[in-house]
Amino acid sequence: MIRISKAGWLYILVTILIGLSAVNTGNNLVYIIASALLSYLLVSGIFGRRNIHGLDAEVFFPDEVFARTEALAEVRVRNLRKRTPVFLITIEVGGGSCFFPYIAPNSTESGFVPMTFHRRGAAELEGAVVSSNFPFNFFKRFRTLKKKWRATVYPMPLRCSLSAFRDGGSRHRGEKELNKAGYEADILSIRDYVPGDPPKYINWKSTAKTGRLKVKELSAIERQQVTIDFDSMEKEDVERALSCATHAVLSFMRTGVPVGLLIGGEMLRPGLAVVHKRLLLTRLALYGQN
Amino acid sequence: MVRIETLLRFVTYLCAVAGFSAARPHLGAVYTAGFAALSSLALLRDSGKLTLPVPRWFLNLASLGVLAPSLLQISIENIVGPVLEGLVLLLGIKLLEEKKTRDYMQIYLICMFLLIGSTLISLNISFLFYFIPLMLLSTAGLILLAFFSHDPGLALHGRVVPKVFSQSLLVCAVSIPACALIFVILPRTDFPLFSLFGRVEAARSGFSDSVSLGDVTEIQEDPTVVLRAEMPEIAEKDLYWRGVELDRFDGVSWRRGAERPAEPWESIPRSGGTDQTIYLEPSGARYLFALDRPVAIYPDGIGRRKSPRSNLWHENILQRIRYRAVSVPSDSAPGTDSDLDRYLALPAGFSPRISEFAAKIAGQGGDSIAHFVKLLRSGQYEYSIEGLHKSDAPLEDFLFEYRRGNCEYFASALGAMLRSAGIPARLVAGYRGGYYNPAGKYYLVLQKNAHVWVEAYRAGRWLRIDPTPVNALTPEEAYRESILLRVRLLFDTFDYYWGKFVIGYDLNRQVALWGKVKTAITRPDLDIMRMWDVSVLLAPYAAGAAVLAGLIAFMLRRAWRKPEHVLISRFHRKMRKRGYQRIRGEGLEEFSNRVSDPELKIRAAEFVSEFQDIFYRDRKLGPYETKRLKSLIRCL
Repeated sequence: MIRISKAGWLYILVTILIGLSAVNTGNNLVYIIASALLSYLLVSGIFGRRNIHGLDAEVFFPDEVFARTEALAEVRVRNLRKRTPVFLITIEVGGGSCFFPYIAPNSTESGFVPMTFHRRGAAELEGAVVSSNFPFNFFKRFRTLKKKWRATVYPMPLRCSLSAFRDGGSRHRGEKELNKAGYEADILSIRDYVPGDPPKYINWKSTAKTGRLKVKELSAIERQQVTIDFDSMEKEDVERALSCATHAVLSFMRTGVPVGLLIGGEMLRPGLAVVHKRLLLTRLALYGQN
Repeated sequence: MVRIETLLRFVTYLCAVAGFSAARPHLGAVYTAGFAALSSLALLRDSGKLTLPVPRWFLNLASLGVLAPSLLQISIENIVGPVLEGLVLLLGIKLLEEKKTRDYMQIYLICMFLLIGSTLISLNISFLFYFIPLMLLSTAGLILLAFFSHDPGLALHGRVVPKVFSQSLLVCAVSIPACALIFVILPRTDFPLFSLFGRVEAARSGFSDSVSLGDVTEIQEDPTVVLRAEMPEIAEKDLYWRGVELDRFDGVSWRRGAERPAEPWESIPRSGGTDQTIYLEPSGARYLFALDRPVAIYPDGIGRRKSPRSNLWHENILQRIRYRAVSVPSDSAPGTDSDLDRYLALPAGFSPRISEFAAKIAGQGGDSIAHFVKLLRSGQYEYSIEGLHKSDAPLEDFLFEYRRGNCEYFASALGAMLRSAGIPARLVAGYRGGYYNPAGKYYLVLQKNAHVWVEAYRAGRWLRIDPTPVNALTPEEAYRESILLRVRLLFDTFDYYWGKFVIGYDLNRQVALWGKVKTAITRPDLDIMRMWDVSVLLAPYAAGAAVLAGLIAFMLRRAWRKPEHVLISRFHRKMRKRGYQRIRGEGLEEFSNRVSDPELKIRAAEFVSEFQDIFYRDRKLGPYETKRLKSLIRCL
């Protein structure tokens, strides 16, 4: 598809006028100028067409995409030609666009397009439009890359009370101090340095007093784990419940609390790994969808 | 990083200079100075050395103010000049503005209009000197403008900038053949509506239908081109380019009398005569020149419409024209006895001294004409174009007092004496000689070749008599000897072909070309001999061009190919010679292991190992590594 810009219309008009002047004056030098202008129209078409072909684009979504939250998708454009560079390429995808002034032959450039998905679940982006006004700003050529990119859009996190998700009997807020050495809570004692102790725990004051390297011995913390029972949550507004559960998963994991999920009769045991978090978020994202 | 705007400004200024240069020869000093001042101010402002808080509306008003007086100066005789002057100032003002995308476009447009305007005044080949730079610069400018329109603040990496400019060169290179093709096929018309353009240069020529003694002197030092005649080379003695017959003599000047020709032209001889295609520069008069004596003139240039015994163009010649003439080079031509009185007429009270002198010479008996010519060529009379005395009785002074003069004096004296002696005579003004250009196969005739000779009527024929001493070193002959002429002829060849193929390309030629193309397509066998001749002629050039193109392609291919690929190709070639062909998809190690010759296997493996060590570890292939790998290939 071609769109003619204002400058393009002006150029066409001027070319026609000069062509008419050439015919009316019979002046062959004006004919040369008119021919040059017409040849530029032709050449502009050839170069413009060539410029937007031989390109491939890929869209990479961020690892976590949440509904109704802007995310930056990476667009990678590859110039498949071995010798010819391409210029002034705009890629429009998912309602956004990014601009590449120059892509060297046989190389890839990347840019970012802000995208917002309005609904959670499996999202699909279909087609990217490659456009360019190269070589002259007279015509803009468009070409659609028939490709599909899929993403799982997690529910939008919605701040809500987390106490409902904790174990009923627990009075502690997520963690409990143990009378056991570790590196996380209060000082239990000060002892001699043993090779292998992290240097940041060296107690310089005691070292200076005794003349021997002393380290702080801290107590360990036992983490409380949380299982979100989504099935038994109120589902008057399912989307709100999913958003709330998402918020809970993210909040707990951010504070180091292993989170499990009971959803659709499936029990996902508590865990802290990133993969685990994404599994939980995916389950929440796809809830109610096939 | 280089800002696009900086590049765009640079290219735009160059473009403006090219556009201005095209119009410069037709501008007044005030406008030249005005443009220089405005563009200098703009340059200072754009380079940040000057702050010029002039609002845009003021500049727009100034543009109107500049255009209005220019438009008011337009008259039917001078349309283009004032428009060019207005446009030049407009260009200066545009440069001064804070430039946005549309302003740059307007600047390029004005530059193009300046070029078009200049072509309406002059059709000279110098057009190319402005057109080509303007084409290159505006292409680069328009490409940069496409970047600029995306983001005015855009900056490109230094290595990308040459790529952008190389694209503009490529666009130009591709558009040249397209432009040539479109030029050939664009519709032409036989009757342009506004053919009044392109006539300003016409007034320069000095040829007219009267010869006053001393006039030719001025043009005998003028090296401007009068005509070019495409024809085979002929004997020097026959090179008389006939223009106008001057039959009315008033004692001082000779004029053309009746419009109608004196006598019928000869019919075209069976041998065909000497065929000339003449490209006549604008003279402001209507006379068509042809080799003496013309027997047919075809104003259409191709020989379809014959002029009815006339060497007059249908209107005053105000732009370069082309016509065909057929002549029979001869020093005599048939005439008629009727109306001879006008060739004997002398003004009332014509110099009795000359009459007596003429009668005395004629009275010697025998061939009176020969006596007159002998007298003038005897050495008593000296050829000169300098220090000629103008007086009320120039002929008497020439014959009896100063005895020096140019061809006009000699011809006038002879013409007057012949008439006094009762021999019908007239003067013929035209050109004598010319410079043959073997490259273009044409005669170049300049103003300095201007000449006047005499025709005397005897026994039913007009005899051409040239009384000007033959041994005189006329300016024309001095010029013939100079190296300047050779250089001139060399450059004129371009001008000639320019005029012939570009300026002279008209509807007739378009139709003829179309006919040839049609014939070549439908009946290719007809023209086969001619095509063969052309092919033989062009073959060396075509071969040279092919070799050059091949060499360039090879070098480009080498330059484009990565050195690793070049090495691998070399390795493959060498292995092929040794009888081993690498299968598609086969690994290099796999390939070298397949070699049965133990020595070759070791050497191939050595190359493969070193190559892979560089290639797969992303090491840069430096000169040392390349040299080493090449030596390993040589050892295979």
